[in-house]
Amino acid sequence: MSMTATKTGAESFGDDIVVRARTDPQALGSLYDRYYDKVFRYCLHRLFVTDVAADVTSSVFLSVATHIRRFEGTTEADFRNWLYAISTHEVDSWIRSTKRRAELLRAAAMSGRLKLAGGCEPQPDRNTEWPELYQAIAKLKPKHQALITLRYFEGVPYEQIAQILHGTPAGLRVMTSRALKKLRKLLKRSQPGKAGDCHV
Amino acid sequence: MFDSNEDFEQLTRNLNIDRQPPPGHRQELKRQMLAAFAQAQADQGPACPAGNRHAGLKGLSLMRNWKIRAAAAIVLAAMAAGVYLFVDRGTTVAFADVKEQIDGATTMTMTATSTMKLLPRPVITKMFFKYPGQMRQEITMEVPPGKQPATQPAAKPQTQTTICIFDMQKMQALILDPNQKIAMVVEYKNLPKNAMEDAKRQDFLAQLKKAVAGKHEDLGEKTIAGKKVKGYRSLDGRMIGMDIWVDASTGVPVQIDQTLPNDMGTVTMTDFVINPKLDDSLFSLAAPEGYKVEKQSFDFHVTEEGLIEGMRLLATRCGGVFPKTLTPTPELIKQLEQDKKTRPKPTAAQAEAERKEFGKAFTSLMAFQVSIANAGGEFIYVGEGVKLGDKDTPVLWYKAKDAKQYTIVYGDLHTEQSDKAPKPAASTPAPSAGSGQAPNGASTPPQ
Repeated sequence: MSMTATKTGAESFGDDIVVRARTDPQALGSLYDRYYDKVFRYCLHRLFVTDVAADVTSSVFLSVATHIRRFEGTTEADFRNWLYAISTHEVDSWIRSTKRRAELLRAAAMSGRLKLAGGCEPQPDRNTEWPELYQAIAKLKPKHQALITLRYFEGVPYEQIAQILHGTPAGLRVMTSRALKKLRKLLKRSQPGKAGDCHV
Repeated sequence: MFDSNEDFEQLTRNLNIDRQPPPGHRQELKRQMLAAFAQAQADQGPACPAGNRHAGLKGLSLMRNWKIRAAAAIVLAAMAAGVYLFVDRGTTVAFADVKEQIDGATTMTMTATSTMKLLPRPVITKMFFKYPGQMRQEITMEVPPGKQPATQPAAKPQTQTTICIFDMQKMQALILDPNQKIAMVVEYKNLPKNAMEDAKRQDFLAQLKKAVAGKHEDLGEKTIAGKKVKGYRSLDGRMIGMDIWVDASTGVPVQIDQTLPNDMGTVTMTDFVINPKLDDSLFSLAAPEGYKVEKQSFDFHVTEEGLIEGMRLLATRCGGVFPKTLTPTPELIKQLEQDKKTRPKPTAAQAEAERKEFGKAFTSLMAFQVSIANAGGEFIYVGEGVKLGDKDTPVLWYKAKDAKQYTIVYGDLHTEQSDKAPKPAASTPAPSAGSGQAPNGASTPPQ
């Protein structure tokens, strides 16, 4: 689930691709192959429904295809940050334009997509807990939603999130704490008497 | 529930969300993305109503020289991208008006002024549109001083006009050279499956009609030619790079600015007239009386032989070394122009034969590349700097969607079959399979 931001051999290999991708479709195709999964997953974590996530992923890459000639970054890290920024923008736009987030949650819950994993097998009455978590996240400010998703669902370091969301790492840490505090309150409100459920 | 940030982190790790995208989405999106990229790269040529990358190929053979082709590419870049009007429904009177006008539009005219680095002077193109799918371009260029007839007064530069008429429904085109009274009837053979659909998507007026829901960024207000205008920048994937300025009081488009890809230059579209009366004769595909009729057919049946011949000619014209890219970028065009200067000046007949030979070969090369990619296969070019004749170094490899093996083309243009794609050198991009999985793992996302 997490994505590291360390500079690797593969990443420096990607730096060259990023520069070439402005004019070379093959290089752009390579970047697409590297990042399709990450973008789709990010969209899915924010939107919950596969088809919607796929649609927004499409918007992201079509935007990349036509914007990349103006992209001024030179490294793969630059590109990744840019890609997440576009993804965040597209997700936020979709949510703003449709105002159907509640419907998304219902659809996700009904399809059983949101459930417990690993050693914590879902119980029939517990399947609703995860939609509640997402519902709670959905009640946060869009920037907080993006922050929580990037940090905890995608494993993006604060330094990188700072570039994506235009903040400082320290400021984002504070913002995260506030967002989680708010999240806890929202969950307590929606789950009276359910504290300490399936802890991990 | 969670008690700390660490708890929450642990909790999210245990979520089990279906992470698989819809079947085929990855591949289809890649195709769409590369098509959008190609459009943005101004691959469209004026002789091609097909509306995809093949379009540019057709234009290459039709145009008289690289500079004119490049100019045409500008014009078609505008066409290719289309114009979205970025309407906030009901938010402003101006855009409500625009929506109403566009919805009811059946004809439109405008003027595109293309300024690009390869050309010393701007190119003016008058454009006429008739819904659905009919278009006429009247491209006017100044003749370079050295090419003007001696009888021409020096003070007034001579211009030459090329008229291109397309019917995207019929997939036919007519190119007219009024100076030489030549009419070129364009025929397309073996068009790709999606060509018709792609062509319809390129219908400028159709784009306008769809545009009312496009996403946009507000650019504020300014004055153009004494008119107060409001500006909007498209945030829609297909329309990036275009800023539209509309009359702040009526919503009628006043100016659209487009920045061309590859730092080629800019296009400014002005003089918009919606629903003018346009005579059907403007869009007639019949050659005018008195014109000498030539026929030009473009066969999109691609073969490996065509690919190889195209590669050979391209490398030959680039000084015996394979170029950085197979895309007709300004850089490549300049390189080819320079090569021409190093060779003895051919006779007019030789130049024409050479032009046709190269146009055909390059068309085959590009068509092959695009057809493989469009069908969900792989086509990887890594030939930059490889010498023509190098038998040990791959310059490209490809694999059709359902093929079991890769075909690898080496610098001496011999081919080999292989179960695996060659491992790219450190400075070359990884293979990009249609499935998204690099056979050698080189493009696997870092974990």
